[in-house]
Amino acid sequence: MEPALRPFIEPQSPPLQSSGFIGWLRASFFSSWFNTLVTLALLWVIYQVGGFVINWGIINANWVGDSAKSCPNIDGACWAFITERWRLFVYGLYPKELYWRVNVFYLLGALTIIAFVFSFGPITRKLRLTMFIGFPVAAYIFLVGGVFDLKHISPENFGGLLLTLVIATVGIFGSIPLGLILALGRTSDLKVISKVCTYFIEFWRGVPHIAVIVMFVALLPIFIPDGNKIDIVVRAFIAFAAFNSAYMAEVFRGGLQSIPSGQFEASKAIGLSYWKMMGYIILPQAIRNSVPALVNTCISIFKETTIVLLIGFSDFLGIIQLSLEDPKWLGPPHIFSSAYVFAAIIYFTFTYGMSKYSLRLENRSNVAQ
Amino acid sequence: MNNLLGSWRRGSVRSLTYQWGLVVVIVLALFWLFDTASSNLDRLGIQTGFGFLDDEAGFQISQALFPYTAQSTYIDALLVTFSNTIILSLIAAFLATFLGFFIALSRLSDNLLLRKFGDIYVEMFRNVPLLLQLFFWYFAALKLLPGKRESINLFDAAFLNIEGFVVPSPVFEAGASAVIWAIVISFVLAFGIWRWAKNRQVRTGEPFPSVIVGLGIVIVIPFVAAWIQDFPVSWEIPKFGRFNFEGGVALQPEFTAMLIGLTLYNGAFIGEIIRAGILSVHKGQREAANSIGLTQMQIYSQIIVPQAMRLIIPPLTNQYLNLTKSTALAAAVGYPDFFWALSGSIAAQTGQVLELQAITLFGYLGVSLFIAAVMAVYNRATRIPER
Repeated sequence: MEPALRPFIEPQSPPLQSSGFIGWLRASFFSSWFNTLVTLALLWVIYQVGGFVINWGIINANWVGDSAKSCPNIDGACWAFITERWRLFVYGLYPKELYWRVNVFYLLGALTIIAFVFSFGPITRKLRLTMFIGFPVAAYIFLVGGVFDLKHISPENFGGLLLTLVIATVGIFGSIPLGLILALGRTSDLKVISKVCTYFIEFWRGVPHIAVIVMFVALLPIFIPDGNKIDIVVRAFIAFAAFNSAYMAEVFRGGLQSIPSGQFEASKAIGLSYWKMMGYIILPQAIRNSVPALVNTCISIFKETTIVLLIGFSDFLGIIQLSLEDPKWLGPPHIFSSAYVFAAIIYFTFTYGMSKYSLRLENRSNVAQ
Repeated sequence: MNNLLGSWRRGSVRSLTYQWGLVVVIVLALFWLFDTASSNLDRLGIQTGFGFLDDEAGFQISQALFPYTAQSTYIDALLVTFSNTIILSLIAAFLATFLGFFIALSRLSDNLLLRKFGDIYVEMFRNVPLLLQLFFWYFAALKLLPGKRESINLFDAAFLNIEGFVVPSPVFEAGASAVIWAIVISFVLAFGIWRWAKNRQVRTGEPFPSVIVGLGIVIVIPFVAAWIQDFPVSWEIPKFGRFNFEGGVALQPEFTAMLIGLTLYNGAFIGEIIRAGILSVHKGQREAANSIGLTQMQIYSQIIVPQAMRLIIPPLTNQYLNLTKSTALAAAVGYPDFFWALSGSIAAQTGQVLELQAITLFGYLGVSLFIAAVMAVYNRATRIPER
């Protein structure tokens, strides 16, 4: 027969400390034998990789020199390649005495970024709009010139980081208005307009970007009347804005779809026309909602600029690749590695900055809702 | 007149005018483009038409799935390179998904160090242009590999050297087709059992160990078939002969570099997609599952994953599309893919840019639409039934 009362259970040791530094350590790194194993293995990996990076990148690295011969140590990076060529990488073939114009462009770009990252109280919105419209115009005036006594420099002389940033600027600033129009068209109630925009968007999204650029560069001359000539750089710019506008359109469509239909109905009920409804009620909300995705698209546009090197442009990566094939610097693979690591760090700086910005916007809008 | 103005304000006439206006503008623009193009082509003396595709191609393709020689036609060249694009995309998509799964797991782990590793991996590979990564693997990393004689020996079966990756190749003898059929049949059977078990569980609540039974079927039936046919499939192990490897299949460095680059780059994106999908499943779901006493395995397989899948599939489709499109960058490292053939040798030899561009665009567009359609079918199958 079962006893009416169960015997007392044995006293148990107190639970493991789960708060404080020790508790945090235990929970984060040693919560089970498997986790302990993983932690130890990763510590070993950190030790190995860290040691390699310091040895390769700093201790064994070759810092100065003017040819592949100055980098004899293949266990170290060859930063000499960068220190000798950095001007070429940053300014391309822009005339040396006019470097200041490129610097103005970089400065304006930095100011535009500051205008969008920081808040300036009541003038923030006006400032941002001014920069958004003013930056491309000013960039064109300073870089290409031909006005205000500035010597005309053909875009074909652009190269290096300058060309990368110019293409990214054209891609971003050109595709935003185009994309907005396409998104409005696609979500329109007018069936024909909606269908045309949908096909346009899906077509560009379905083909490789490099194929689009090759198509524009190779075929545009066939489709314009004889005697007119469009600069090859401009053709690439048009292609870049064209296919990126399709991606932007999808970003804005996402923003438009996030607006509850009550907003549309209320605007129609108080008798606003389509454009007034869009301009005053829908778009201000939709654009704000699509900004994080928009920044992510800007990141991919920035990364995609590299493909222009396949049609022979010397963008940042292109000019590095060209310099690597220069007989003076042709050497063992560690020169290539160093150059690519350097390029990767530069690209990473831009894209990582943008991704952090987009994350911040996302968190902010999550808090606001 | 008043009447007309009224209907303009009402919008029906206005919307028709806008729409027909757009149609007319597009038709006129196309007509104008066609007109200028044909006059330009006449002036330049370029013949249009796809007849040139039957001509002899005259160039070699270093990786061909089916017989191809320099005497083959352009059509053959296009088919061979197109299959190369598909093969590369398929293998890379498979590996990237596999990798992405583990990255997502590591980023969701309890272990802070492992989580940080996942974060760093994703940030590093997502934020650097794919082309730069491909260059790195092809021109820097793979060039560090030793020469043929000093090949890195992996279990005496596969050999890694600067000229590529030599792996064993399957040899099919008589009766091999029976084994392949057995594999197909066993998969169909396992799938059927899985469906039946699922339906029965929905109806009666009685569980059936369909995964274990299915695995058993998939392993046992092909094995029995192979045994009956006296093991008709064997592996040919590469051996270093006097100057070169004999036997096996050599994966070119171009292919290897593309595969590594595409896998690592897309793996980072897919990892992020899977993580976001799993995190989006409401916390209450996990708590409820815990409280009714499901095991961790059951919580994941029955509660979390089915719900996460619905959010994972659309962006994953996009990622597969991106991956397939980005294989066109293979031209940069010289891997003979579809785009390499169209933009390189064929364009240079024939000068038929217009036709070649059309083939390029519609070739890739076809693949994109196919992937989108397949994923849409899957998406519909896993959708929450609306009441």
